[in-house]
Amino acid sequence: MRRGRVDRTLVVAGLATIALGALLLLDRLGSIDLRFDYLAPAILAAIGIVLISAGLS
Amino acid sequence: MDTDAPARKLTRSTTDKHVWGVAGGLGRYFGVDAMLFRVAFGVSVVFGGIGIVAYLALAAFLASDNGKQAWIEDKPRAASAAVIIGLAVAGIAALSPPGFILGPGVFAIAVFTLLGVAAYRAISQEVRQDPARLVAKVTLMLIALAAAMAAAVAVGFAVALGGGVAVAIVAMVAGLGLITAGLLGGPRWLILPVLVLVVPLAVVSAADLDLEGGVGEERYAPQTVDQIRPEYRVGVGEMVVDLRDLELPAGRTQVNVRVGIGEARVLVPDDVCTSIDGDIGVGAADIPNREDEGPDIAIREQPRQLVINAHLGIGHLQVDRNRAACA
Repeated sequence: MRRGRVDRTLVVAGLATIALGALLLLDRLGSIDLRFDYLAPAILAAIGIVLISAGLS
Repeated sequence: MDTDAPARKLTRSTTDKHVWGVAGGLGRYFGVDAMLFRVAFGVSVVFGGIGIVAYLALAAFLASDNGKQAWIEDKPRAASAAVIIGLAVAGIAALSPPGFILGPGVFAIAVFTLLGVAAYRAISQEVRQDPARLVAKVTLMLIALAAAMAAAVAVGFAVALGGGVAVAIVAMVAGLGLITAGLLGGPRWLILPVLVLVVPLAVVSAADLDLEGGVGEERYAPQTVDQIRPEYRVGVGEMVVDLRDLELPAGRTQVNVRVGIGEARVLVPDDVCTSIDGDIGVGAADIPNREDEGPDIAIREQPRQLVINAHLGIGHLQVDRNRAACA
């Protein structure tokens, strides 16, 4: 695989999706109780990280 | 030039810097010790983090004192717009205004911002070309947007009807797919279908929305404790639980009310001391001496003779009780 073809934005978006998915899975399983107070900043942070990686690439 | 005099142009400092030289530049511009700004930025973390947002904005938009242009200047317009909008949303969130914006409103802003940036990037390449192609592309994008919204609603219903675990696992697998696509140089629009999965899952999870229980209007009026159901539940609709004719025994009695989307109204005997233990994902609570609205409403009261245990995903809870009965 050629290194130049790697899209960092997609990779970061994938990592953010997995992190959010893990949080939401724990919530659905009842291990944690997510509320808007916690989830809204988490979603914003994920979007911000993806945007920053898009701006840097 | 006197190096002690304040510089006339605000720039990032390349000589007095710990991160990106913003505090050093501010100190030189205002003629004060840069440490004051560093302390201010640090302290702002405790007060919502608005200083961090301001620091990032200054770092992005200020040129360096060595003549190097600002970070934002050589970026594409779409990326610049995304950064500006992102900073604005982060700034608003950091200021913690009251109301809806910190709940689903933030999700809506974030999603529509991303959709807007994606649409802008897609259309701007077509503007210089054939207008017919542009119209066709806009039409296709609107159809895709409508399909995405319909899919998001469907995902939301699937989660609210008990499929949340499966959707969360699918979202994580989709994340792995994004990573794979990124390593192979795949298209970035793949992020949008993943958003269609994750955003409704997040909203339904945060609101703790549960639509099991059917659709419609229900009215219950138990006369005795034996007639009280273990749980009064409506998925989507309106429910009235009339307890005014209920003969309560000594001790504590609990009534459980659960509504996914809609309204729950509980009517309580005037001579019974009643407490509420309730959660509302998004909506409003209307009980004597207390009115709440917005996301994440939690009502916790000292248990009394009659305890109303209410759980609403999205909706309105009204409890008609006589507070004087507890005197």
